[in-house]
Amino acid sequence: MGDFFDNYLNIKKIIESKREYKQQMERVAALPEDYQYVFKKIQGHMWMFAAGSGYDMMEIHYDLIELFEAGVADGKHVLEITGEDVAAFCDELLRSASTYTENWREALNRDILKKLGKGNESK
Amino acid sequence: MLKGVLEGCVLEIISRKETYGYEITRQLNALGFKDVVEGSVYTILIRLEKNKLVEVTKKPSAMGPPRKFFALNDAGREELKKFWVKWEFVASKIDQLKGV
Repeated sequence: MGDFFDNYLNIKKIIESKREYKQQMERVAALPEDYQYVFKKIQGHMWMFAAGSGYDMMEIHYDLIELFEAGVADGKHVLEITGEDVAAFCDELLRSASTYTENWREALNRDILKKLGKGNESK
Repeated sequence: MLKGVLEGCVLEIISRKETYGYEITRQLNALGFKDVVEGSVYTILIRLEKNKLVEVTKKPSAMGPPRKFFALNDAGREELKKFWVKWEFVASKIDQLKGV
């Protein structure tokens, strides 16, 4: 419950996170066009899976900006960083975030274990 | 095929010396894994960090933003040991299947 209030009704945190978001998006705007395009595509795609407050998703995106900035500094093409299968890259990133699909998977296993799991008599 | 074992490869490389994403990628490429991109190594590093298997230090780099350097901690070394045990098992079973 503490988590809930901390994440959803915490005005200070909301304002702070909005300010941070704005700062981070300014960093995105400073990237070359190809990088910006890919970043925004990844961001949009990944948000479709976000569960809960999404703060962890934001952290992943902020880290990603750093990876992209390093790529620009090394003079690399954006697809040399992500690979051409950008969706697969996103899948891997999503494994570090809390997602709807992960919640559904957990619920599926939990429900079935509760009904049929070890220590349960029903057959 | 490689996907499942890449995490073990990354753990092994980090265990030898503190290193960063691009260097790990280059080592894997030099080893012959040509299509491993920095992004795949990056997602593994994020997961290792999240699962508290590595110590992370930020160090300034000549160009661009500061780089994250990774070193294994005790939990990471334990995980690497487990990986090699699992690998030995899989490798021996595949050999058996192939009739070696």
